[in-house]
Parts: sequence; structure tokens; C-alpha cells
Amino acid sequence: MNLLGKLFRLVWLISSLGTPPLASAQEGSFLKEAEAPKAVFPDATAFERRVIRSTEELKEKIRQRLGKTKTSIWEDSYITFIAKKADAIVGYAVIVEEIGKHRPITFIVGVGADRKIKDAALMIYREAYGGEIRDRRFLQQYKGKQLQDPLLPFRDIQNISGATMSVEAIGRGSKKALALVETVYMEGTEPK
Amino acid sequence: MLKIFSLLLLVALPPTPTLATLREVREVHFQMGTYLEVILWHHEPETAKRLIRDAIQEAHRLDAILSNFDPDSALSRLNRHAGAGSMRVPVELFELLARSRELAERTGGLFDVTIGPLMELWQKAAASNQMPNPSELDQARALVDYRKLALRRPDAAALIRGGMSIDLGGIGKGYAVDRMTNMLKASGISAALINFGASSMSAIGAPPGKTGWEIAVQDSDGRLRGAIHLRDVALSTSGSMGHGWIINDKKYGHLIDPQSGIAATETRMATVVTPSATLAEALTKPLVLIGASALRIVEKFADCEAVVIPENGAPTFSRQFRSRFSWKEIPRP
Repeated sequence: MNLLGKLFRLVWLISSLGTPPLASAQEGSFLKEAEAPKAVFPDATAFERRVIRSTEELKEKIRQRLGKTKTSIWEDSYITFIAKKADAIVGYAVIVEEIGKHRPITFIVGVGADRKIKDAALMIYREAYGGEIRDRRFLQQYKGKQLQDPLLPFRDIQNISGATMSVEAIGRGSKKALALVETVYMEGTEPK
Repeated sequence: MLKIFSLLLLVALPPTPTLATLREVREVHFQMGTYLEVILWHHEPETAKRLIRDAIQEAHRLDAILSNFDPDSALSRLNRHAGAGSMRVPVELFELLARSRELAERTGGLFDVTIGPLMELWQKAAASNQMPNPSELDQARALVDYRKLALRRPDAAALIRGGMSIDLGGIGKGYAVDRMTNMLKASGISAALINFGASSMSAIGAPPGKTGWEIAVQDSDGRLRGAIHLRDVALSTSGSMGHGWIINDKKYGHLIDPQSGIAATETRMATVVTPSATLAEALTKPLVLIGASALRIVEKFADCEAVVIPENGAPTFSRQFRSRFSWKEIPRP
């Protein structure tokens, strides 16, 4: 191989390394089911997906555990994940829904093996957002945005200081997930 | 030969990451009783997700140290140890207590993390729907004094009097935001926004093609009053009436004046912008408690600007707030 050929090969080798992959689409603001458990258990190396049917018996057991906390939604079934690291169970993740101000919020709750809620992450937030809708003049600054479109926090105009999202629904849903994990996985009373 | 080599390099080298390859990655988690949103611009979405989750884990780790809701936290242990001498605390708690005590001195005690006994008193008052009586207020007030929080480097802390307790609710999220900001910057991130419950934010760099992160500032009625552009600074907003208490049909804010012991009754919002989210969060408290007259306190801090918006009133700004952050007022409808 002559010098020119060697140089070309060297440059080709360099060029094949370290190219940043071009993302094919804009990253969404919310989590998909496949990536959700990793969001709440980032150290886990494997997840076992299990669907738990929500029978009347299971609901009653969860109700008893929840005490005064009233859930706004009873799912027909729960998508759950057993999170593992080197074959040891590090926790459980449950996808739950609860009504926010008006509409359901879908999120995943990670419960540690110590029965403590480790993390929760938003998957779908459907609530319209009062402040921005009222302030249409502000929105007109955002070219290309249709004012009749429903406005979603965390997707459209996320940066509003002092505009707190209601997190009561997250609290209820987290307790529901904890009650489910305790009933099904820690006491082994999974419905048949 | 050199020319040929240069030409080959130009043709065959991979394109360096450019604005076009940057992608926005965003996750919203729930920590410290509120939401925590992190937005990153990165060339590799998987790397971005890992960095976001590392930052979230840092907030979770800090919550386990700084929470006064978790009986196992280092802060809860320190509170239980009040009046019983000093104890060793994690370095993060020590660092935040030291900063809190310094800020208490510099705000003349209007920000004071030893507010715990008064918070507890007002929570009980709200639960029983009975105003605290003067004797109860005096007793609780006597236990609120940042000068009775003793600190000895590197990690010893003591609450001098039994019954004292610390509540880091007015500064903890800002501290967590600062730690997360440092983590992301250390990872080479040049465009990110951390939004902790809309009360503590940190803007790193700017989104591609923008000069900064555009943040809308709202008033106590939830109406957007103006927009600012932030770049490499932190912001904190506090309102007097969020998460307040209702006693005998009268609404009281969740912020309590450490000196009078009385919960806020005037409605106002305050926003502070400065490089440290810890400082920003602490400085909103005097502004919410006493209003625009506390701007003189804020202006004593270097590189620190603020705006106070009273209920149904015009905003009052620190000297350079509008010019530094390109304040754009949103007219009333």
C-alpha cells in the first residue's frame, strides 16, 4: 500500500469512530412503557414485565391498605416490572393512573425492596393548563403554535416560574402502587 | 502531500456535532413532594437520559438526608437530638446548615431555618381550626433562633436548646438544584434546564439557536405577568399563599415571619435570579414576608436581582432586573 493509500485508510478509520448518531425523531417529553422502568430504577440491569389483573378481591385488599386515601381510578389491570440487578430483586415498578385536576395522569412508580417509594416518573400528562390559556397574548409570541390546541405543561410551554402542578394525584397513585406491590409481591397474593 | 491529506480529512472525517444533531430530551420525576423536570439538549439521547437520571438520583439522595418528613433522615436525627449536644452530620447537611446560618445573618433573621417549632405550631392550629394563643406563640418563637444552631467544621452540628428543630423546606430544593447543575456542567452539558416544582430553576447555557431559556413569571392569581431570558443563572419563585392554612375562615400563607411568629397574610409573589439556586430560594422569603422593602436586602448580594408582585398590584424590580434579563411585560387582558 503506498503512502497515499495508508493515509486514506487512516482517515477512513478515524471517520468511522465517534460519529454521533443522528436521532431520527425529536425526543418526546414523556416516557414510553419500554423505557419507563429504567427511568425509576436506573441501576437495574433487567426487568421482568408482569401484568396483574385487578380483581375485586385485589381492589379490596388495596383499599384496606390505603385507608383514608381514595383513588380516583381503578385500572382493569396493572403493568408491573420486577427490577433486578445481578439476579437480585432491587424493587418493583408499577404503571398507574390517577385523575389530576380533570384528566388522568399516567406515571410509573418505583417501589424499593424496603417498601419505600424510590421514584416516580411522568409518562403521560393530559391536563390543560389554566395560566397559559388565559394569557393568549403571551402565547401569540410562540410562532406556529395553534391557540386552539390543547396546551400541555411539560410539552408546550414548560417554563413558568411559580406555576405548580397539582401533585396530589401523584401522591394517591404512589400509595396505590405501594399497596399493590405489598399485596402482590411482598405477600404473594397475586390474583389467579 | 499535505494538501492531499487536508483534502482527505475534509472529505472523510465524521461531521463534528452541530446544532442540527442536538436533540431535546426531557423527563419529569417526582421528588421532595413535587415534580422535578430536567430538559437536556444533547447529541446522544441515551447519554442524555443517563445524565438526567443521575441528576434525579442525586435529588433523591439529598432528600434522604435533608427531609424532615422522613424520620430516618440525617436532619430528623439532628432535630431529635436537639438540646443533647453536638452530633456528626453528612457533609451535605453541614454545608447547607452553614450556608443557611450565614443567610439568616445577612437577612436579619427574615430567613431562618430554625423555623421548625413555629411551622409545627401553625400546622397544629390549622388542624384544630384555632389560632395559636400568645403564650404558645411566645414559646415557639423562643425556640426559633439561628444563633442557637452551632456548627463546628468539618461536620459537627448542634441545636442548643431542646425543642428546637430545623426545616429546610425554604432552601433544600435550591440546594439540590445547585448540586444537579454542577453534575450536569461537569458532564459537559451546555444546554439544560432544571425545574424543581417551578419554584427553583437552573438554566445552563441556552437551547440551540436561542439566547437563553425563556421563563414566564406569574403572579399569585396564576396570571402570566412577564417573560425573562435566563442563561447560566438560577431562579427561585415563592408565593405567600401556596400550601397555606385556613383558620377560622381566614387564609394564612405557609411562610412564617421568624420574628413575629405570624404566618403571612398578604398575598404576593417574589422571584429572585442569581447564579446560586440555594441563595435564590432563601432570598425569596424576606421578599414574600415584607414585600418590596426587602429588595434592599437582595441588592446587597452581588449578582442578584429580584421582582416582587403584590396581589392586584404592579411589580417592583431591583435595579437591573429588567435590563439584565430582558423583561418583557405581558399586558393585562
